[in-house]
Amino acid sequence: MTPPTLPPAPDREALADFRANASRITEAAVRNATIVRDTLSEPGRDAVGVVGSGMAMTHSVLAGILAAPSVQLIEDQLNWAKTRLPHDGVGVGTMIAGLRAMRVAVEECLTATSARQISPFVSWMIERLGGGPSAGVADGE
Amino acid sequence: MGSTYASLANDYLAALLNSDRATATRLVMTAVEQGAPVSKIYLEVFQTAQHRLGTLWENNEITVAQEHFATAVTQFIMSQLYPRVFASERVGRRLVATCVGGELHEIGMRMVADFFEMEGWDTYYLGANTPAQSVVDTLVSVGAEVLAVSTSMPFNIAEVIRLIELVRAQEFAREPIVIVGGRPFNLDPDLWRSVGADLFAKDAQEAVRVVTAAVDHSRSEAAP
Repeated sequence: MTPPTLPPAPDREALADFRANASRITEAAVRNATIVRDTLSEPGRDAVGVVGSGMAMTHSVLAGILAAPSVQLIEDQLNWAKTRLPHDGVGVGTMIAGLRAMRVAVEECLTATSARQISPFVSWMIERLGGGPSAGVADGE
Repeated sequence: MGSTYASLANDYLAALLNSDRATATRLVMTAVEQGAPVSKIYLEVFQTAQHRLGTLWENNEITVAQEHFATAVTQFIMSQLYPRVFASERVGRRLVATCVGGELHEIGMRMVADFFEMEGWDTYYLGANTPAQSVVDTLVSVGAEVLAVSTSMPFNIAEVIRLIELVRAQEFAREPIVIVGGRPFNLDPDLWRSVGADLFAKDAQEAVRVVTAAVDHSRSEAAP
C-alpha cells in the first residue's frame, strides 16, 4: 500500500520559530484544550497538569520529527500513542482534541508564514487518528 | 527462521520478569562458558529481551520500574562479560559511540561499542544524553576515525542533525565517518541520509561490517 503523503517539509525558519516558541505554544494549547469538553472528559481530575504534560510531549515530538519529516516515524508515533496512552487514561478522542488545540496554538503563537508550514502536519496527524478532514485551523474548534 | 538462542532468550526474559537476577546471570554465563559467542548473546538474547520488554510496557503488561530493573540487570551481565569483550587483539582503529543530548536509551549504543571492541577497535563510549559539543571535543581529542550516533526516540532526530552539523563544521586532520542507528532509522530506511550521516546500520553486527568496509575503502583511497 502506498503510504500517505506528508505536507512539504517546513523550512529552517519555520522550524526555528516552532522550537523557540515551545513554552508559548504549549501554554496556549493547554488553554485551548481545557475549554474543549472532550479533552477534559478523561483526565478531568488534573486537567491542566495532564494536558500540559501531553502538550509538551506533543510539541517535542513534532519539533524533532519536523527536522526530517517521515511518514514512517509519524505513523509509528501515532500507533504508539494509540497503543500506550489509553492505559494512561488518554483515549484517541482526547488525542484528537489535544492536537486540535495544538493547531490553534500554532496559529496563535507563530508568524503566519511559519504556521502555514507547521499546522498542516498537525492536521495530517489528526486525520490519521480518524479525526476527519481538517482543512483549516478553525474547523472543529 | 528461528533464532539459535530463542529458548535461552525466553528463559532469560522470564527470569528478568521474575526479578531474578541470579538466574538471569547464570543462564547467560553458563551459555557463554559452553561456547555461545558473546555477539550471539548480545543480539539474540539481550536485544530480543529488550525489544520484548518495550512491547510489554507499551501494552501495559509491565511497569516502568520492571522495565528499568530488567535493563539494569542486562547491563550488569554485560559488564560480567567484559573480560571476553575486551580480549581481542587491537587493530589500531578508534570509534566514539554516543547517544545524542536528551536520549536516555543507551543500551543499544553500548552494545554497538562492545561489538567494535570485540573486533579490536578502541572505543570511547560516551553513554546517554551527551551534549553535542562534548562529543565533538572527544572526537578531536582521541582522533577517532568513526562517530557512531544513536537515538531511540524520534523527537531526538533534530539533535542528531545538530550533532552531525557540528561535526561537519569542525576541522579534523581526517574527517570522521558518521554512522547512525536506532529505532527511527530502522523504521525509515532513508532517514539516515536526511540527517546527514555517512552510514546506517540496523544492528551492532551490521554496524561493524559497514564501518569496517567504509574505513578500509577510505584508507585505500588515501594511500599513496
